[in-house]
Amino acid sequence: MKKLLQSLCVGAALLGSVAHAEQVVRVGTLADYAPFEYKDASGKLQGMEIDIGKKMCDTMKVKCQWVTMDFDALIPALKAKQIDAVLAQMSKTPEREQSVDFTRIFTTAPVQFVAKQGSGITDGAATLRGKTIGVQTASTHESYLRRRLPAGKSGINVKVYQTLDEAWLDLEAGRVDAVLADNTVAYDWLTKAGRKEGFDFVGKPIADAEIFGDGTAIAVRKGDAPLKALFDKGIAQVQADGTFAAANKRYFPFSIAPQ
Amino acid sequence: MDILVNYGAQIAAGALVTLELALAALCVGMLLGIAGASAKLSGVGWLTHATYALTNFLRGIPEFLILLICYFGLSHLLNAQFDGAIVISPFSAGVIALAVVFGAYASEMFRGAFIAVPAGQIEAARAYGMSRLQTLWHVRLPQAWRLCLPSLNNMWQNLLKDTSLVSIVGLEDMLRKANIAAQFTKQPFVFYVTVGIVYFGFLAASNPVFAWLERIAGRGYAQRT
Amino acid sequence: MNDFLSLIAQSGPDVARGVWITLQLLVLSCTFAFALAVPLAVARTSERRWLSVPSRLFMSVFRGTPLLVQIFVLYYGLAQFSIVRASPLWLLVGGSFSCALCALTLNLAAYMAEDIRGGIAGVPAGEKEAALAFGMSRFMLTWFVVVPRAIGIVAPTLGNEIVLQLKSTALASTITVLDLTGVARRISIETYTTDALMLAGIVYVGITAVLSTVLKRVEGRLNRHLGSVPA
Repeated sequence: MKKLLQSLCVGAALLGSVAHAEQVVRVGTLADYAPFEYKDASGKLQGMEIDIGKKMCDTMKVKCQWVTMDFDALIPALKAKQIDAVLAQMSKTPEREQSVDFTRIFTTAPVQFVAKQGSGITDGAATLRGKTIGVQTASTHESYLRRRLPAGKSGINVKVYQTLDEAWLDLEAGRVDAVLADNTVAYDWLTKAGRKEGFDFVGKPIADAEIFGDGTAIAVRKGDAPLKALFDKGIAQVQADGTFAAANKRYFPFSIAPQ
Repeated sequence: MDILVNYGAQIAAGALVTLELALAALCVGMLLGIAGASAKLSGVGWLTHATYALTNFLRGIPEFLILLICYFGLSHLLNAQFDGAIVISPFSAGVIALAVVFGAYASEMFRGAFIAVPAGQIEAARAYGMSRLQTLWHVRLPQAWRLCLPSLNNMWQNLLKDTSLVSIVGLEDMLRKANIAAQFTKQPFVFYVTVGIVYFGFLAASNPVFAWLERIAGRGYAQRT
Repeated sequence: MNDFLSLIAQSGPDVARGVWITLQLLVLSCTFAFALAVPLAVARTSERRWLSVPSRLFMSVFRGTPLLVQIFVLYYGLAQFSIVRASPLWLLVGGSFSCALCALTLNLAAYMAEDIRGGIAGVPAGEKEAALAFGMSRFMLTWFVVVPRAIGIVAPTLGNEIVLQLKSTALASTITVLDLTGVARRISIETYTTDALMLAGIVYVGITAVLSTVLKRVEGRLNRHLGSVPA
């Protein structure tokens, strides 16, 4: 009788564990990239991509674990299998596609300079001569400045920061003359702090599809087709059921969906 | 000041992580130090030279660089070998990096202390039939320990200060919490000074602890007034 | 190995520039720190409270907190205040190189001052009495007898501090200074490998070895009047 009860218990436990055995997906993201992903005062991860990401994981029926790190550590962590996916406003570029696979694009953001109004800086190379520009490490913006406007020829001094927030702090302090970033993140900073200090977008958005890509997507390891397909499904779902649109509207007055 | 209250719990949690890291690195580092000292004193030629070369090499590289190599390099290496089964977290990388550096300095410290233990006692222990390990544990270590304590205090304090470096590779310690809070609230001064004060507190608290340890270890030795 | 060699070929100039910045940080911080440490140590051992208390506080703070925290306070913390940005202080903490240099200098000065303080305590009493007997003023005693003697006593320790300072300069890379570590990190990020970091490590060990040898020679010359110790 005792043995029967024991085996029934073990059986029930096994059954229960099988029923709850979900796939765990470790998603790498940033902790300081408001409004897409940031940590609030209680240390909780918030933001537009977190909202959308959670909904995606529900659709995909996986358990998502969020892991934060600096932007330049994301791809190495993905390759080293510390994380399984990257959701951090990472642009899908030919250069990155040599190392990782991307899902379909689900947000876009033009790239623009942000500087003090009246500084005379625009996207024209002549106005940038002798100026110091801040960028986030390992970003397409850093690549753009290094490849299209190399220091020797353009006279531009590039300052690379571990996080974009550090770049904004130094922009306010006057250590850099301008910051080059996606205009979505820049919009958030300008609205919350930048415009009050006299900063704004300068010049036109820069067009360079080879370096900036067409938009941002989720990165997975090269060859991880099942997870890529799963995320594609999740993206399609949040776009179809209005979750994306609602999140977009909550954080931005303009659309950041791909055209 | 009220933002500090908001983030207070965060900083406290980070302080706990800092302490955990320091204590873990201390334990592993001490073991490495004793092993290193034993290797240096073993009399086995190639082992002695190799250990000296290794510890001199480690003492010449910035701790920060060792940490970066541990975190990024080990991940790459382990991934190639074990295909993702073993993952190096910022905490583990921090413990390994800090313990390895601590061990390099500690091996020299222990070597000096071991030499100072009277040879007669070691001979007597061996004559009694104690194995090398038993001699180490019951005779050499307790006496060497007393001589180590002043240098150990210094090394512990350096270790505690070096734990701040691990925030750069993403460990959610005090300094990283301060970084995030500072960038979010645009008030870096308050947060960094607070973290500085907490570190100062930890270090100041270490001194009486080591004074107490020295007092206990010094029992049975005549007071030289 | 081929990758390693091509890495050296490609990024050689950047690494060389990085080494130059590291050496500048090292030499300048050691020089300024020494210049600051001597008066600091003298103030610390002074009987006048208005000298000894502030210097004690300075040394406590800079030895009792991590260098990285000091760097962040000086670089990001001070930049927060518009008063600082408008003042001459901005010349020091405005640029990342000069700010790193400031932090490294202040930090090292505190450690050197503590060492020199120990040296001052170790000056033989007989020499001090002889100086006073000769009619030297307290000022002359301090600056012409005690300080040079103390520095001679702690010269090996100060040399050690200089070698340790090389490792501290690596932290300048955290505030965008492109020293050797900063350059190595940038290369490492672009190539997704750690070869650059390991190359930087080897360069640091090389510089340490050269530095130690040079310092030993200097110590030998400094204390040559003491004669060589018989074997």
